[in-house]
Amino acid sequence: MLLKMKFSQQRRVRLAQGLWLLSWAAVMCGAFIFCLGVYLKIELLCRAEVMENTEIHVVPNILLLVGLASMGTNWIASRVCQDSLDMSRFPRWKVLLLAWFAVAALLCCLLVTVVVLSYALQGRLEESLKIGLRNGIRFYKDTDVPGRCFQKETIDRLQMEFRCCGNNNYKDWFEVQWVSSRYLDFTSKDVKDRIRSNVDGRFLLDGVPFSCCNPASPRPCLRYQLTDNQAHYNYEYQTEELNLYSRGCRQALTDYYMGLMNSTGPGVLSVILIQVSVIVSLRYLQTAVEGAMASENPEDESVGYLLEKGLKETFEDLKSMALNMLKYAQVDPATPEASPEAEAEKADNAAVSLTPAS
Amino acid sequence: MALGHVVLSHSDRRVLARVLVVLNWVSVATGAVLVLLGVYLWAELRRWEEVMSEDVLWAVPVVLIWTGLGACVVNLTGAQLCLDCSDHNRFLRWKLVLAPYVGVSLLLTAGLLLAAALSLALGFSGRLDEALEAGLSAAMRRYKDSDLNPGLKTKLDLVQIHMSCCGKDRYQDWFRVQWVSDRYLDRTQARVQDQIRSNVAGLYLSDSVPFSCCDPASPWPCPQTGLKSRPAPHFLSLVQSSRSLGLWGRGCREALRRHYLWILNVISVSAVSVWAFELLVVTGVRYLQTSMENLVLLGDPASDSEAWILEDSLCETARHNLRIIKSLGKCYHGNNDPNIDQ
Repeated sequence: MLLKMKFSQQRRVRLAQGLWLLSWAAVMCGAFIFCLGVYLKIELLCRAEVMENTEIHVVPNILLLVGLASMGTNWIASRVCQDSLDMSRFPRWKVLLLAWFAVAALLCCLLVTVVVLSYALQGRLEESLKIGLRNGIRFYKDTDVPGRCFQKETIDRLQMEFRCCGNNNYKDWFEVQWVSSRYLDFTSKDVKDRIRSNVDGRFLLDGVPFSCCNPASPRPCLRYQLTDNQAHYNYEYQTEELNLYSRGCRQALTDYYMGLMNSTGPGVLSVILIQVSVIVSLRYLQTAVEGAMASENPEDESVGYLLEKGLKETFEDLKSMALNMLKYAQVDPATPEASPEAEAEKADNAAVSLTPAS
Repeated sequence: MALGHVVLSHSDRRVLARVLVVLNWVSVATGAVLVLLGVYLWAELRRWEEVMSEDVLWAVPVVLIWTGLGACVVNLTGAQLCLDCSDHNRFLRWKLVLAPYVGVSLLLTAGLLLAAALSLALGFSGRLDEALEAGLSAAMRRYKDSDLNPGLKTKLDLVQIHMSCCGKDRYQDWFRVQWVSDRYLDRTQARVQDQIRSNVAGLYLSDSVPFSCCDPASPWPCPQTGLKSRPAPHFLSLVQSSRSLGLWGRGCREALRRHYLWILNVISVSAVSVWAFELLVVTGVRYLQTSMENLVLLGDPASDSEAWILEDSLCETARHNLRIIKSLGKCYHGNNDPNIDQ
């Protein structure tokens, strides 16, 4: 037996009461995980316009699923606790409990997966943001094209809210024509020169939109002719730091989302701990109550354990049972009459060894 | 003739006590809501305090927070009191506390009305407008002095961005103020020298606005400079139409005034509704008190008892109280004492 403990009648009652409270706490934790998933999903959907793919959405989707499932699972655990001390009502839960343990273990694994994924998907998130922001900057000027007319406002508000400029830094704006041709003065010499000197006939300039301006700068914002030190008084673009936002929006958004997911990390880990303790306590309660029911005097002391045989033996049993089921499914032409009964007997034995009281 | 006279049976009293416990807990929640509203108003006033010349509305959050806290405390004790009052024996413990408790609750409701009245009065008087006008003018004049007032430029930029406004009443207010500091002006340029010489006070005025006046929702790049003549930079050719210039259309004075007035309206409406609710609860507690006191006089715990708001009519009670107040100042009269020789 693995980790066996003796349970007197009073200890069994205490365990049932404690587990009832713990499982309701776990229901609350499930609700917390669900709300976390909803919050993360909304935050990601808000900025969906600057993300190229939705791979990162797998994190809040799993959180939503696990939250709902864990609320249901832990509610069932509390019902089992309520019935555990009543000899007539407990047996009906016996069949369900094996499935319950499987589902609860699966939920814990999914939560661990979520924590791992939130770190592992950082690279994919950055890629998605890079492409989405590049498109946003390219289509900034297309305020008259249907489907892209809100890109300007989206990018402007994004840069102001997250205090960032461009994809990697402000120089990204120099490589793109962000002033629409509708508003260019084609009679001006400078405009004609710039368009002629560019291979694709684009109007590029060393200037940025107003949303890149940093309000914390002591100087009124300089937006145009940024690389020309002579164009502005007392200005050196190599050393000027506060005039525009220095961070790129890709870095800003990645930091923001990583910060969100990291701050939820401790919460998710403590929920995993609570769920594992519910599973362990329910296993002890199940074995202790079944042991008490099997003995002559139900009020007697009984033994509770995690596994009836040691870890290796239980694993061997499970493996042989799985193999037998596979063989049973396969039609074996060599021994057609003897093998079905032999397999059925072996499967029965294996099942009986896992659930000692039946 | 008693005011609001009813007869309550034993089960009536139990039901009344239970209902009052629930209502008291609801009042605790509404008290907490009022405290939160007060804290929110206080935070919003602190956020934009640089653009208001004086803190006109300082009294409103103070009154709101204190009455909200008082409501929470009073209603918590009220819930405990009502829970005990349904039982005859436990009522005797609280007998002396109930009358002062009703008095304190009435004072509290008066405080709520005061909060509502204050917020309405201060909001609709002209003082808020004047403070905003003076504060914004001073802030715009000091915008360029980011070395003397380090945070003011940033604050004014943030006000214009968050409140979607430009200038005091319209964007042309920036044309009348030198908002570019002398540290960043090239005085050797002829253009700059002309501007300064043509101005009486020697200020450098230009027809341009700070970047925070730009509206992200406009479809073209924001024309910050040359707004009166031709919109620069030189490469832009825009239609000169004041509505669609790509700057915020309204002034910051109007925007801030609307913002604060909205908060004050919400506060006054909530304070009045909480006041009405509290009055209901206090009336119920008064009925419970008088019915339990009459029950004690009758002696039989299970019998019906009378309950009222005031024992005599309103005029009688007022006259009775006035007589008590008048006789407070008078000393002992020995006129009718037989042991003293006159």
